[in-house]
Amino acid sequence: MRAQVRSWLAALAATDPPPGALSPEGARLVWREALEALRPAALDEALARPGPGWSSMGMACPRTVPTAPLEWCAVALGRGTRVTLKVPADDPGAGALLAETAQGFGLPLVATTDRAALVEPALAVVMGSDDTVAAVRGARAGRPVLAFGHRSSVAWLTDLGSVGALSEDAARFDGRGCMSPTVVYTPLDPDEVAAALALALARSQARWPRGRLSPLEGARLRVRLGRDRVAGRLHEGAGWAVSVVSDPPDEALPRWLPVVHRARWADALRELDPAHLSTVGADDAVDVPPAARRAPFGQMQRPPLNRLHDGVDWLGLLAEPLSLR
Amino acid sequence: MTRATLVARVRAFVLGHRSDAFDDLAWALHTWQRARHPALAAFAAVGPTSGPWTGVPAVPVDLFRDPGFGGPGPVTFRTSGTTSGVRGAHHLDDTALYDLASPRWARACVPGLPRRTVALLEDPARVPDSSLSHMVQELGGPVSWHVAGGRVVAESLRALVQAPTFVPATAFALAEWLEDEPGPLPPGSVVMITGGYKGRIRRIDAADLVRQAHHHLRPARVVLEYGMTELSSQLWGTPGTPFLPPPWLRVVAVDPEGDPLPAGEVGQLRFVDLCNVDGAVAIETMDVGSVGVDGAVALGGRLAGAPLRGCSLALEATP
Repeated sequence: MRAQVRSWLAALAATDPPPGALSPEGARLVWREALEALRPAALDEALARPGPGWSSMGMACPRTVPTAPLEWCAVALGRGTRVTLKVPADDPGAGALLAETAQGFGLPLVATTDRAALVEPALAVVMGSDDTVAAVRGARAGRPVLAFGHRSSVAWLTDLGSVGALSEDAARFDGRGCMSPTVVYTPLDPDEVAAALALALARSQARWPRGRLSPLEGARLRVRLGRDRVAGRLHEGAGWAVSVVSDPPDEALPRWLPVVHRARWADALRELDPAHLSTVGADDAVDVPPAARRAPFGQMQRPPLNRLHDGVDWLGLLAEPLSLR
Repeated sequence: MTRATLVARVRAFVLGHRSDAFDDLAWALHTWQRARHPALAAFAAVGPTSGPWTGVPAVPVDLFRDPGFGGPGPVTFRTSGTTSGVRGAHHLDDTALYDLASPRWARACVPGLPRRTVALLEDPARVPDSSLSHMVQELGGPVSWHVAGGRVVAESLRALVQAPTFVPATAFALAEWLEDEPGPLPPGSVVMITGGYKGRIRRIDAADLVRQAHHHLRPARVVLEYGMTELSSQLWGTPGTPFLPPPWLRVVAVDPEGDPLPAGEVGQLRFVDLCNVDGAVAIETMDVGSVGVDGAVALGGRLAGAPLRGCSLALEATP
């Protein structure tokens, strides 16, 4: 199976991804990076984990991060697990492409819009809202579910030289991923940080234009940017915006970065809910809660294959079913 | 340009003396409002300053909850609330245009509207910040009010409805009244339904409410009204037909980027109301719908995921 998986990944690398809500350039960026993380040595290391693996796995493809199933499928298929992807009916996107290509190499990967895809397999993997997770758990009546509910990520920026890499983190997946920075904490002058970020976001926009907004995202952006424009601390351009705010907002919007001044990281950390914190991007050595991941800027949304995913040893769980039970 | 001059121009437009083109008057109002309200000037700083009326910077209704928008003025109308609990405010220097335009369009859309009114609404003497109650009061004729403290007061209602009567009601108030199975209304009566159909706790099926109203109150006619605190004019319709805006109000559906959509395509609704002299002439709602080539609006409800709002929430909020 391992050789077939490698061939499949090579074929995917030569394929243009369906953009979905992203721009074609934005989709190509995250597609290429997701495949780079699956280089042969990393995949071999992941598959070297001892354990029998699962007989079958169902996974819901998140709309926000269309490449998310790629690494899960590669590892599970490499272990001989049959995989079914539940794809959105109105946008089968990357999930459908993964399945179609995999089948060409004899790999047992199918994509379906049928919700039974998450009910019947031995393991269900769900990334979504807390409501989605609860619904899947309920439908499976106690059978194994590996669930990753709502989480968000933040940045701690102490050096203006970091804004370029941070803006790339904000551009990936148009900022919709759970590892996307939703707020930038800084001990620096926040207006200087915002001005520098504005330039960096404009450059990112030129390389990887923001994709489609949903109707609600468009409406909420106009409310948010309108409010911040009136407050006089907004930098904005086509497809991006940066606001200076006194407190972290309770909303995350595509390619919008709020900047919050805090003298110390500890002050920021006190405001965060450790149970819902995914990734802390930082250019400084900072302590993060045990279940969160610390990443340098530019890598927030490029996690290595071998990692704890929201505090979970996901490679171990795909290898050894008993560890989940 | 003074407020008095603008009001006179809008008044002439409402009365049908079309000395102004709609676009020109919309931009004139916006330009004057920008000069008057620093918040609006800041909000619209990146927007156009001329062109077709669809380009007038539209203030999202959410911003009417912030200080600096929609006023100031001695008259204040407030929203019934949203799921956030913060009420929006629309401040007016006076209600002269409101009081001219609202009854005029209501009577144009509902021929034979009875003068006598039995309102399933709060008494504006008790809730002077309700734009809905104010509008009904300005329709003229004797009015009795039958919602108090958020509950329908139905005891005295039956005796009042002995002649052709206009019965304006929020969806939730009407549903509550219909639970008492009131008898038919006299011929010539008109029932008006307005307000949201989704509450924090329950949801009313709009088609079912209309069916129930027909069933219990026939031969009364049923009409629908669409209005918002942030507007000074209303749209009227009948069940199953699009809402008609008055000539001094235009509606456009926009895509997620805020760009106008062609007629018939569903998008987020923006309103340009020339009678909104004191606040913002153009507003952006969280409602979706399509606008026909004739300007009529087919409503499609709230944007998925948007907070609930509407007059019905005030009623439902009462334990």
